[in-house]
Amino acid sequence: MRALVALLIPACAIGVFLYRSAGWRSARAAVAFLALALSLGIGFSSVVSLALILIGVEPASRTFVLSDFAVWAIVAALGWRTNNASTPNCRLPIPTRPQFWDWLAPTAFGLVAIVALASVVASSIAAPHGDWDAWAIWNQHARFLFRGGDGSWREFFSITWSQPDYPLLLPASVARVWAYAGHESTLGPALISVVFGIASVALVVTTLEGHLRWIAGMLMLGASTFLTQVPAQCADVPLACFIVATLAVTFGDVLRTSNPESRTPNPESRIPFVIAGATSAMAAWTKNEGVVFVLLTFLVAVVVAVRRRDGRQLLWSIAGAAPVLIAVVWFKLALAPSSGLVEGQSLTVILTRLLDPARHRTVLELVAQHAMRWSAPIAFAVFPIVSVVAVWMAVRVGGAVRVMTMILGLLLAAYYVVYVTTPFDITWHVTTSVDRLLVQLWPALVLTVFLGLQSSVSGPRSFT
Amino acid sequence: MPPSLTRAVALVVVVWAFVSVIAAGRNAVMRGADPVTALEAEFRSLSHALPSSGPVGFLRYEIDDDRADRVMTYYVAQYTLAPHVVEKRTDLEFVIVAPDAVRAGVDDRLAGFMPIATSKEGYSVYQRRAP
Repeated sequence: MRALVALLIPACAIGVFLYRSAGWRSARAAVAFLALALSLGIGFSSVVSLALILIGVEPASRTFVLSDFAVWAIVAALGWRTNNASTPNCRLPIPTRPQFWDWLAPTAFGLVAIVALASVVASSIAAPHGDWDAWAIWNQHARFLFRGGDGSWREFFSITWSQPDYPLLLPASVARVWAYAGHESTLGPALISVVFGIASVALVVTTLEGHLRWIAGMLMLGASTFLTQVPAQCADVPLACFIVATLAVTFGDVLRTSNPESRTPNPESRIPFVIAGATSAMAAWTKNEGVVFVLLTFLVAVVVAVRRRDGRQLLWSIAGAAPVLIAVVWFKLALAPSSGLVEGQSLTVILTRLLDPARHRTVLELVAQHAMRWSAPIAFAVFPIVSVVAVWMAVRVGGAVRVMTMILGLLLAAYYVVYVTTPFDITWHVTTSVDRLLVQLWPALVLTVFLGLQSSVSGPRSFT
Repeated sequence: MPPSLTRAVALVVVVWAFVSVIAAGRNAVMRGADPVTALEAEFRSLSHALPSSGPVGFLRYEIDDDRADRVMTYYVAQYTLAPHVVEKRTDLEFVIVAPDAVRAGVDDRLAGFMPIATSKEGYSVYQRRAP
């Protein structure tokens, strides 16, 4: 119970901010806001927790909980004072009587979601410490943070096999939940994982409209590799959540319009860009792959600003990203050791590996094998098929769908380059990680395809 | 895309999602005992024998030290005993010893050490008694 309260406190504070600055006028927008508030709440509270630990407040102490609560009370109070920027300029749509088919898709989605949640709970009970990487990396770092309040938490930086350079969003969040609970429990990390899993699905479903949203939700949950990663307690589903949140907030319109039926984005709305900046920075604070994502989104934002000759949206995004990016940069430069992927690497070595056709062949073969088997045995080639549809949509629909596909394609290309230039054994590196890398992209890929389908029915959505 | 094809694709997705989540649920329920939970309980029962801070040694397996189950044992020891750092060396005051890591007969790597705590499955903490 206390673990849940720990997650709800920052979510409520951020929810107040979102409500006061953007407002919501539909259940769909409210669910999207809740998903954003929960995921951003976990993210921002991890930064606050790390700051408290760094100034010497032990997570196992009552002072930690009181200080943390005080911070979020102040945030909520500041949020309450924020002007309500989105006064309703349209009337709510008059509800129409739903037909039989209108109930079918949401009911089917509801049943799939319930069974999926039951499977996640069953997995969490069967393996309460999560998958290998969860206890060997993420929850282990959380234990160091929680137990080593006297400063000995820094000892984990010396454990090279535990990826000490990984950012601390997840470990600091778990330590914070334990602080509120008053003891370590396997419920804390499991709860955080489930929240990110639900938020990922909710963001896709609420960004889309009509029956398509339910089909998209079922496609997401039907991918068993994605579903089994939710209770795994690793950082891949949280990263997937922040990637899809960034794209949903930037390219969707759930935060931009005061009327859910209106498809006209409000150009004056700055909130989506502030939130997109924050969620993209959270991706970098979750996992190293998120750093590539934040760089790509920044690049796209710069291109858009130049084409529009209007840098305001870019500046709002930077404002949203700055607090978390400062934490990321500080962590990387002042605290964490260098990544095993770059340590000992030189430009000559990287170029030699990049020009080695055998390495390319190995990576391509392994990635293709895993992509075809992703979510097997129930699915075959689901990731490649959905990727091909995304590319088709990008060509056919253009606009936002094309930009989203480009971002995801470039992210995949970056992962490929890392594999080809890896200092580790390629086979080991690819086989132990590629399924999870595809999980990171899955919600965003599904969103891209269905936004494309939606646009092909209702007309393209311009981005630039 | 024609509406009939759209409906057909949607139906395939619905059926596939149902089958997939049911299979995932079944796999989750059928999952065997968690080795991490069992190992964690073993090492947790030894933690009272260790000081509150400082590195702890871990006796390397004589052969196949990099076998997956042995790597897991070492990693779970580290996971359980944090914020101690568990290192694969024996020149420290306290050393964790897995039952199958000790050489048959006399293991000279543990010369000067005495077992001070042993778990249910035979994992032990050895403490250095002589220089």
